[in-house]
Order: sequence, then C-alpha cells, then structure tokens
Amino acid sequence: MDDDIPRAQRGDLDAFERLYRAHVGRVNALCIRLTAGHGAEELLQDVFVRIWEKLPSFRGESALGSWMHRVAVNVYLVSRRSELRREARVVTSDEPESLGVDAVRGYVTDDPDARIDLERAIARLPAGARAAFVLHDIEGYLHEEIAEMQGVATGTVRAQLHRARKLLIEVLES
Amino acid sequence: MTDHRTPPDDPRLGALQRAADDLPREVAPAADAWPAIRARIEAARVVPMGAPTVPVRHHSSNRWRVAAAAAVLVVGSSAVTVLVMRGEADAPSVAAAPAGAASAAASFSSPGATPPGHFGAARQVVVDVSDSYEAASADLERVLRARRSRLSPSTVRAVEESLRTIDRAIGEARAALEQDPASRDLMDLLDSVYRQKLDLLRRANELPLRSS
Amino acid sequence: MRLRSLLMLACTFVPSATLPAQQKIDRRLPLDPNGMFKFFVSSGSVRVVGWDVDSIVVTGTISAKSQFFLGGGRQGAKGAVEGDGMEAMADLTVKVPRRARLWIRGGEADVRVDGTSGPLDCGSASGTVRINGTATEITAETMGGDLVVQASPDYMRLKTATGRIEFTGGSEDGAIATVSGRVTVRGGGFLRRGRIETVTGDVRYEGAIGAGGTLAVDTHAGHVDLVLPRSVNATLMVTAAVSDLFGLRSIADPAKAPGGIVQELGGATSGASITVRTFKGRVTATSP
Repeated sequence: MDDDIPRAQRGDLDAFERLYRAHVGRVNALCIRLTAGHGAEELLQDVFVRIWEKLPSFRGESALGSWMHRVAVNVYLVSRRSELRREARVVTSDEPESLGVDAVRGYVTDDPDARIDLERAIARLPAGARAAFVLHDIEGYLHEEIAEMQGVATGTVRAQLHRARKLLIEVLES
Repeated sequence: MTDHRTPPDDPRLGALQRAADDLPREVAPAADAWPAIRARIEAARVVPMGAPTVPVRHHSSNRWRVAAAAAVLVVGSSAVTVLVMRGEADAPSVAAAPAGAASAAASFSSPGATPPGHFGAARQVVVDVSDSYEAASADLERVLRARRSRLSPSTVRAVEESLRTIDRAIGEARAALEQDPASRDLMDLLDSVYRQKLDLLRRANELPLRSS
Repeated sequence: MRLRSLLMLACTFVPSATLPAQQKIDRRLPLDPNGMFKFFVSSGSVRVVGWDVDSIVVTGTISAKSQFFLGGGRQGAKGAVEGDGMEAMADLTVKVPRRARLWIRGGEADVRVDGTSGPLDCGSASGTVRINGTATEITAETMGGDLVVQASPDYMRLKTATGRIEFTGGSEDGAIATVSGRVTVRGGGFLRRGRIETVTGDVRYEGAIGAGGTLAVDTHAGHVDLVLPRSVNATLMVTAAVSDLFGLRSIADPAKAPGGIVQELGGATSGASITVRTFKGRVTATSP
C-alpha cells in the first residue's frame, strides 16, 4: 500500500485504484452526509478525480486518509458555493428555525411509527447547518478550520452549528 | 481534524453528541464507483500535475488555464465558481455574437457593470471551460463512432439527433456568453448543456451492442 | 404485369411460413423477498409484475434463434434473452417478489414494470419504459423511447435523449433530464428537491413544493409552464426572455430586472424556492 502512493503520483491508475478501494468507505460516508445522499455518487466521483489530480502535491505530512478527507470537503464546498450564493438571494428570514424545522418535523411526523433516525434527520437539515454539523460534530473539525474552508467567519460556523443542533434536538424530542 | 469537543452541559446536547459518535465512519458505495472514475480520468486526460508520462491535451501552457478547465470537469457545475474566482488580466477577445443571440441573452445579463479587465478574463474562462468539455466529449465521441455500427438504427438516430440539438445549443449559449461572459445564469446553462452532452455520450457508450 | 401480381400474391403467403418459429418459455426460480434480480431483453417486450410469492416466474415466447437464460440463488438471480434484432424478439411476463431489487434492461425492447415496491433501475435504448407501482427508488432511462412513470418514490432519476418523460406522482427528491423530449410532471410534484434539465424539450410542471424545498428547471430553448397550487408558499425566480407569471407579462429588460424576476408567492415564508431559467423559451406560471 505504501508503494501505491508514489506509483499513483507517477500516473499509475492501478495503484490509484488500490488507494481508492482502501479509502472509499470513509470518503463515501462523508459525501453521503454532506449531500444528504442526493448527488453523493457524483460527488464521490468528483472527489476521487480531484484526488487523482492533486495527488502529486501530497507530501505525506498527514495521513493519506485525512488528506483525502480534506480534498473531499473542498470539492463539496466549491460545488456548493454557487448554489449557496443563489440561496442567499432567497432566504430572507432572520429566524432560521422557520426554514428548517418544519421540514425536519414534517418528515418525522409523516411517519410517526418510524424510529427517529439521526442520519435521516441530518439529511433534512438545511445545507449550511448540515455541513457545520457533519464537519464539526461528526468529523471533528474545528470551528476555525470549517470557517477557513468555507471562506466565512467563525461566528457564522458557530451559528450554523447551533442551528443544526437545535433542529436535531427538536426532532429527537418530538 | 482532532476531537476537541468538550462534554456539553446540556444533557440533550450530550445525547446528540453520543448519537453522532455512534454513526458509522465508513459506508460502502451502493455501486462500485471506480469504473466511472477511471473512465473520467481517462476520457478527460486529467493527469496529476508532474506526471509526465501521460500527454496533456490542453493547448495552453498556462497552469491557471489548465487548472480552471480541469476544475470544471471535476466539479461539474462549478463553471461559475471558476468564473468568479478568476480575476486576472485581459485575454484575447473573441468574435461578436450573432444578433439573434443578443435578444435572448438580454434577460441573462450579469447585474452591474463588468470591469473591463474582468470581461476579457471571463471570456477566456468561457473558452477554457468549453475547450475542456470539448476535449472530454471528443474522446467519448471517438468511442461512439467505433460502436455505432453495432447499435440499433433507431438508437443511433436518437443519439445523433440529440448531439446535433446539444451542439446547436452550445453554439448559441457560447455566442451569448461572448457578449456577456460574466453572466452566471448563462454560464450555468452552458454548463448544464455540456454536462448533458457528456452524460448522453457516456450512456450511449454503455448501451449493449448487437452481436455482429 | 400479371407475373408481377402473381409473385406479389405469392410473397404475401410465403412470409408466414418463413417467420422464425417461437419457443415457449415457462421457467421458475426461487428468490428471497428482498433478493436482487437482473433481467435483459434485447427486443420485443417484457412486462415485470410484482407478486407476493418468493419466486420468479418467466412466461411467454421468444423467437427460435434467440437464447434464454435464467439462473442464480435465492439472494440474487439474473436472466436474459439474447440474439440479434428481430431474431431475438421476445414477449415475456416476469413475475418477481414485490419487494425485490430490480435491474431491468431492454436493448430495443419495451419495458413495463407494475406493482413492485423495491428499488428499481430500468431502461431501454429505443423502447418505451412504463413504470407503475410503489417503488421507493426509481432510476430509469432511455434514449429514443418514452418514459412514463406513475409512482411516488422517495428518490427518482429519469433520463431520456429524445423520448418524452411523463411523471405522475410525488417524490421527495426527483431529477429529470432530457435533450429534446417533452417533460410533464403531474400530481404531488417534487416535495423537497427537484431538478429538471432539458436542452430543447418543453417542461410542464403541475405540482406543489414542500416547505424548504427547492425546484430548479434549466432549459436552453424549451418553454416552461408551471401550474402551482393556490396555496403555494415559495420564492419564484425566473430568468427568461419572455415570461407571464400569474398574468404579469414581462419581456426581459436587463436595466429593470438584471438577473431575472423574483416573485414571493404566498408570503414566501416556507423557505421553498422555485428557479426557472430558459435561454430561448418562455415561462408561464399559473394556478388552477
């Protein structure tokens, strides 16, 4: 496996396939959560094509898995940016709960017998809040790291995270 | 990326955090994504920078241009992002759009005045984005030509008619973008049509062949 | 002339004698209720029907020169009819456990799926695909054939090239893409996330949108007709050369409306958004 990194860096696709197979589960979990499962397959492809492109710049300062993880987050954020700008034109409410909780709660009450499933509740979060929760509470990134990746203020990340937790707790309690 | 979280005072938050911690860290994809990834790498000739053994298709030696173009292939609908992120000096101008495109393009005008320097750079991004997609399409079209005789005539008709429709739309959108290269909506539409073309070619190349 | 007439008369009788003989198919295979089943037919037609029995039953006819295959275990099985063109003509009915995971492909064959509820992935190159059932996930595609779906899946992806797409029902997350085919959505619509892309195909969307949901329609030259319920609560954003939104006609004037027209429907407090962009088409929005 260690030999596969320099081989793939030199353009060996077979070596890259072995790296893909070793890491795809973790990257895929991240893709599914960030995209709420919608477009996760496309994102997964995008991420590994991007990893292939950037692999020569990998210097081994961190574990390959962590580095791949970071690339995945960046690819997701870049692809989301234009969409986020568009959403910013639309969302005018100062009370974020009015945008998200109805959707989350509505989903749960649609099926009252179903066990509340955290994965599905996360998937129902608004995109910004979801990204903050996934990256901070599941993946363990710092507020500052998330802010830097997203190009926003740390306070924005804290607010999104607070919003995500509040929405999820409401769902868990309902 | 370290676990820096402190135990929360609110028990509800604690329960949420524990639930989050229990989520699986690995999830196998529903279908093996590798064949598609490999095909994209090969079709787009997206090579790791510094890997000299594989030829690069791009005409320009400017690294930013290669990067901008590759980013479009990689990110899918991120052409706009490339456009916004670019802020460099003027690039060669291109021919004016036909009159017909101008009226349709009016509704897609970018808000506000476009700085003159950005205008040329934005035009160049349109060219780069198109070049990248065209390069990827050309490879897939070669594969399609090789398979064409073993596809059913009705399928060939549908694919070829669709490709003509798509190419006309690309021509019109590009002509309009030459007039207003900073239009985000137009760029998104061009991106959408190009993605449709790649998807159509990929799907056509995956169709089962007749046996002789 | 008389000779030619006689020859033509003779020819009208000869083909029935030279038509390829048919083989009767009547095969059965056990399959778990959630088992996976893959089936391929190159031409003709296949109808897949969900039933409450843990087995697959294939009945019907195939042409003499084609080959039929069916095999596998209880968790996964596959079948196929293969051969060239008309020689591989099949007319089959396939009964499968209702909740089975299905992968059905018709090269040039028409495909019809009725009454299944498991994840469904089906398609045909030039045949028509019809789906009617309660499948929770549907992926279906054709090139030239029409795609007609009546269902309410949580997740749905439909694609054609020139074929029309007709979806009746509601979906939490739906995406439709076609080049020149006409797209019609009726019923509940896309409640949480919907995306429709065409190049020249017209789009008609008669449906709702859920709180916080998004619907995006992008088309290069297609006309877009939205028929939204009177109770709709969403922000509508339209970028088009010509639009008629609830009686407010507009011809694009970038000086007055750069980047398009934004209308807040029903107060637009739900966080839902509908975005329509068409380069050459017109957009209309009405309520019934």
